[in-house]
Amino acid sequence: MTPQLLELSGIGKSSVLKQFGIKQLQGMELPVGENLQDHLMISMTFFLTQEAQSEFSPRVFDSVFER
Amino acid sequence: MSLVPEYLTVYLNVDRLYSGQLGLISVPSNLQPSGSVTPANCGTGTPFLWNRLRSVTNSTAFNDLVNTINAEINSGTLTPLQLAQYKIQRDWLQATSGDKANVNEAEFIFAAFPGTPGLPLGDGTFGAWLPVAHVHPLSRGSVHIQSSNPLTLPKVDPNYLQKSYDLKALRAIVKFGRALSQAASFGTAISGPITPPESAFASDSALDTYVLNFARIISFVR
Repeated sequence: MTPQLLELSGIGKSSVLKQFGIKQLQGMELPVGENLQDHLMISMTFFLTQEAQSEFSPRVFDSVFER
Repeated sequence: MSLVPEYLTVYLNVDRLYSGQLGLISVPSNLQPSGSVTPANCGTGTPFLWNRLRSVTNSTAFNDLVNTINAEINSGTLTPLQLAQYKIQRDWLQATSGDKANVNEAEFIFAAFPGTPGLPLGDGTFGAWLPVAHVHPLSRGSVHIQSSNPLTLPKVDPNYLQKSYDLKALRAIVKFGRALSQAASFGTAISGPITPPESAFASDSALDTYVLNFARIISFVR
């Protein structure tokens, strides 16, 4: 059950539901959609030595990554 | 602008990465750049290294993290759920034995990328790519509807880096990534940094600025 479905169904914070004219179900003042956690990355990149370069080819890359 | 913008949203095929096709720059089994780090979760040919924040920080940085999470816990501004979660995350940070000492907050992935015309390595040669991540941040975001129309997508606000703890953790993790790249084990593979540039490590504030400008979302699919 996603926060979107819950809120559209009248379950969640009244401060959110009121904005869109959705009637809150009785006793359903719940922190729906709060506390989202996600992580970040930093992309570190480095030059490879000639010795290391020889190990790679576009074919190898294509087989590892999918876009 | 990032030097490798299009690969920040690339999907990694985890199974194939695990197959060791990029074994050349997988984590060497003898990698111990700080003298106290062992890639316990990393077998031969596995390009992933997970580690604990207490293993990738010096005592000053670690104590700063402990003080910062304690200040959050004692702030009196957290929801009951946040408070409970932060106490668990503090246990992960501080534990020295037991299951809680096996929770890793830092992630390092060893991979490669091909050069892109107009950017460094524009001749098509390969660079080493080391995405580093803090996987248990304190920042909390939200997902809410922005319309009563069920066909309208909800608004997702991850609230990244809302807590100073998360910036400090990423700072420490990037420093550790740099230490990894400079380890003797990588001497035959890595010849120098592209990003972050050396100037980003001039001070903590310089590194924070870099992190704030270049932190990106990363996703994995199978």
